[in-house]
Amino acid sequence: MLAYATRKLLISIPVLFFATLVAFLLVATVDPIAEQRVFLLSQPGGAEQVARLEASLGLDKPLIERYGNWLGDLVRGDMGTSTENGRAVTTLLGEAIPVTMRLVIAATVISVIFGVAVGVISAVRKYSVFDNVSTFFAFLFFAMPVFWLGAVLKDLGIRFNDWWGRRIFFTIGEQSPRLDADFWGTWADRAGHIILPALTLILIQLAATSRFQRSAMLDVLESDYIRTARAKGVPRRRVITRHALRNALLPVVSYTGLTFGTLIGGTVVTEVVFNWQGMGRLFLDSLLDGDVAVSQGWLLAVGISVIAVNLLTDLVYGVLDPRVRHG
Amino acid sequence: MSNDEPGSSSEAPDPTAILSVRDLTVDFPTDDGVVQAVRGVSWDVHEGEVLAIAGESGSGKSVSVLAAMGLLPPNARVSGSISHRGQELLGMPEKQLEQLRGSAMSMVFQDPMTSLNPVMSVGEQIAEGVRVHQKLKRQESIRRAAELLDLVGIADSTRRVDSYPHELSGGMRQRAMIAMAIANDPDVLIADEPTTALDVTIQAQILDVLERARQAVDSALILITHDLGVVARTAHRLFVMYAGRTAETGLIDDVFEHPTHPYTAGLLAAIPRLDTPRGRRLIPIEGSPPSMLSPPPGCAFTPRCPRATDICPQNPPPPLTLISPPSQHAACHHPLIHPRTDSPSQQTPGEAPDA
Amino acid sequence: MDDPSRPAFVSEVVPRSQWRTVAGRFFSHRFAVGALVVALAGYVQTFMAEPLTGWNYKELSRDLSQGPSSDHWFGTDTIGHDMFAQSMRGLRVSIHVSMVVAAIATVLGTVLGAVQGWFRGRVDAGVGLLVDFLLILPLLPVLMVLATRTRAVGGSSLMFVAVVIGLFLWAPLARVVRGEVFSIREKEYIEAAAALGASNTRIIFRHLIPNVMSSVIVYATLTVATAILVETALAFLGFGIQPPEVSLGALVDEGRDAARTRWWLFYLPGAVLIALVLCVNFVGDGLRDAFDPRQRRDPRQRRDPRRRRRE
Repeated sequence: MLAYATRKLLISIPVLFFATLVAFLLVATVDPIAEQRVFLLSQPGGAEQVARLEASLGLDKPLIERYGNWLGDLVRGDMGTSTENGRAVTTLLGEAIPVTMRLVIAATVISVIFGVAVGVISAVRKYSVFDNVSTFFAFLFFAMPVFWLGAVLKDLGIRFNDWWGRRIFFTIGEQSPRLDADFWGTWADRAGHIILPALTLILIQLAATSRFQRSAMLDVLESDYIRTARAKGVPRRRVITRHALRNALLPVVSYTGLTFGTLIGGTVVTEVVFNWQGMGRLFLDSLLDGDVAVSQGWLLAVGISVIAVNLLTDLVYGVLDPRVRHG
Repeated sequence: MSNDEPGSSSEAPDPTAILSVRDLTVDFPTDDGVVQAVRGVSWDVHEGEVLAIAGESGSGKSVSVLAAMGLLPPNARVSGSISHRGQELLGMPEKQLEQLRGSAMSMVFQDPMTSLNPVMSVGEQIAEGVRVHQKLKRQESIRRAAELLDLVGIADSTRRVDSYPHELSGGMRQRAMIAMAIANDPDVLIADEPTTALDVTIQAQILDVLERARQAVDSALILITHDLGVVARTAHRLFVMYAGRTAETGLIDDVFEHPTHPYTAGLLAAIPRLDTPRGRRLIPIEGSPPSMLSPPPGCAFTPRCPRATDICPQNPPPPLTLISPPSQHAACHHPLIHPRTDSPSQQTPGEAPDA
Repeated sequence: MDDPSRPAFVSEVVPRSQWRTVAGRFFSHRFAVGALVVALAGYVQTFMAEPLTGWNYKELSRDLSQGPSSDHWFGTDTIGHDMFAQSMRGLRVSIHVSMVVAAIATVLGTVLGAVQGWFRGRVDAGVGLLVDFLLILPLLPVLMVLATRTRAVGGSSLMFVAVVIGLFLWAPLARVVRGEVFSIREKEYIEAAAALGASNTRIIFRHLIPNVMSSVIVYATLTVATAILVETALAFLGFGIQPPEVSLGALVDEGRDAARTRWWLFYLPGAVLIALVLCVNFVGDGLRDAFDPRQRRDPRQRRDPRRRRRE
């Protein structure tokens, strides 16, 4: 297992390096001073000012050198500063990441647990009422765009609040502004805010995960070793939990890693719908403002998280599957 | 050993038999129609007996034992009777069947590559079967698993209990399957083509291990095979199936000496034997078995049968009839009649009168 | 089996052509056929909308913020656009974009996957790296960046968006085709073709790809659904197809703040979008069942004797 984990870790290093390159290059040709440039060039003596501005930002150097400098700074923990508000990119990310993490972790954990449970029950009771109902909802939510579902839930939440006469669901932001509460009060407030956005992501993830788990489970249930277990007289419940589920979890583990990138996209959209001040907003604003350093830092942070999650799913896979661990 | 007539439909299950099958039919409804896998088959297996069930793939031989184990897919329609020591198995609640499976009757499957759980150690898989039926602590059950691995000839068994299936060769895996099957001293051991998926070089070894394992637990053995060469050494009695029906049954030596059903004769002519005269060629059976989706109304072997006449395609074969005493029964319009084995002169087989 | 002397009473199954069998299974699938009909009718409707209602999607009427009526089936927005005309235009855009995306991704995925499976070795490893990378890539953020970069060079046009999305969506199919080619490359007819000196190109296009068509077709349908969702999400965020062209995603974005007061602006374009994706998914599911009956989910099959289980 140790050799397997080490190998997986070593493979991540070049991938990580590649991610820095992609994050840098994707945004590197954006002109961070586009607006000033137009303004300054229309002024007398503006050309020198533009040149000075470019030099201060390092824009006069060739791309490869700029990448080297960016990478060098990165190693020292410096991701540059925002051209919009002058704050360090690391600070901006440090504020946004915890907000988004809450949402991503809540959505992933809940959708995986329920997705596995629903998928297993559907497979074991194939064509039952439960299976048919869950198939129906899986199809429905699988076809639903995140942005639409989020907005619908938001609308329903507001309607519910109006009807109830009290605000139960918070539909704007990740927590109440100027909240003055103790530790538990803060978390209770955050919980009220996270329900609808998390539900948006959960319903869509759940649709895919449960279908995937169902078909993995059906495949496994037809396999020879399940028949062997039954031939030993192992009770049905134990055949399902000990033999079938353990094997049917394998594809779902890799699936969860592979769809993490999609989840990030869904999170960006959800944050926009519910006006969260998280990673989604930060990225959207950086793109609209041409804030190069922030966009690059954001892409890199997301890239690292995707690599880390896939490393994690590889390790979990190794724990579950001796063939991979020994191979 | 049962020498009486096993095939008649009116007969009740034999209470002295360990496993007694009467009039078993198994259908599988599919998108294209109903597959009639087994069409009225009866047999018994007695204590300590080795019964070989032979036939081509699709003849229904595996399906009939899977029905006994209650391991058919849920869409199978089963009728008839299967009883274990006089206790009816068809329609038995699953809980009760689970108690019999793996203890009273156990099974070794064809493909050891796919029949073991890839994510569970071999020792744990054997120990699990032990713990399901015996009140043993985990440690004790693992120790028992090591003993069983020893018994089936896996060296270094105390270390091998921790191995995973992918770390073992096909032959070793099949040994582990056999160890698993005898873990709870079954009355009857069922081996479904146990050597088919293996290398020719280790097939004989596995048959030896199987026989040794059977003797260790003193059980009956049902050996399912398409290869009559496999059964020649080990089996006491032979049961030949064709297209879901019984073709012939009898003591193995008698059947091998002078088959009475043309299909059995064809099968025997197609296998190499030490006692065949030099220069005699092996004769394959021409053609292939019929589709079980809509089997022909008459005798299914007709298109491939050298003895077929006009009545064969229209009329189902007669019930199993004693053709050659003491043991040989065949279901055929035109069985091969032999003179008694103790008769001094060898005559050419004559033809029986039409049934 | 071909023995002419064989008696005529032996039952035999008349071999049907594989494609006819598949088509037969597909057309016996109620949901899938219904979905296909609805999707096609929807597409036809995008051309019929203007003649039927008299409203063009660009046209501004005097009716501002009106609810659905016999004149404006889906109502009007604050500046007087007819929402039915707009929704139908958006539907047509989504269909066109997703078709182009699916075409590009399917061709790329099929060819690259087959090349990987046939040549193996370094080619396989190289393309494989790209596939692994694309599979975990957070697609939406990357497309957002690309959209800001390309807007100046016509990057908000329908074609351009479609091509960019298409270039990113071929990886799942490539992985599947590669796996299947690995297993069929050992078959006798492939070996025979290679032994007879067929060129690599000929083997790939004449022998390998025709044999993986079932997966290709099923995945192409899945890609259509994904493409629709990606295109509309981009437009929703403001990074996709730009006005005056219409995207259902942009319509939903404009309508969502009015969800409580002028529900038609938000719910109706959204419903059109979901109906489209649902139809595509049902067709895809029907195709998968038609190619692989083992995984069948035909409701008529549910009442079969499977229920009569012994346990």
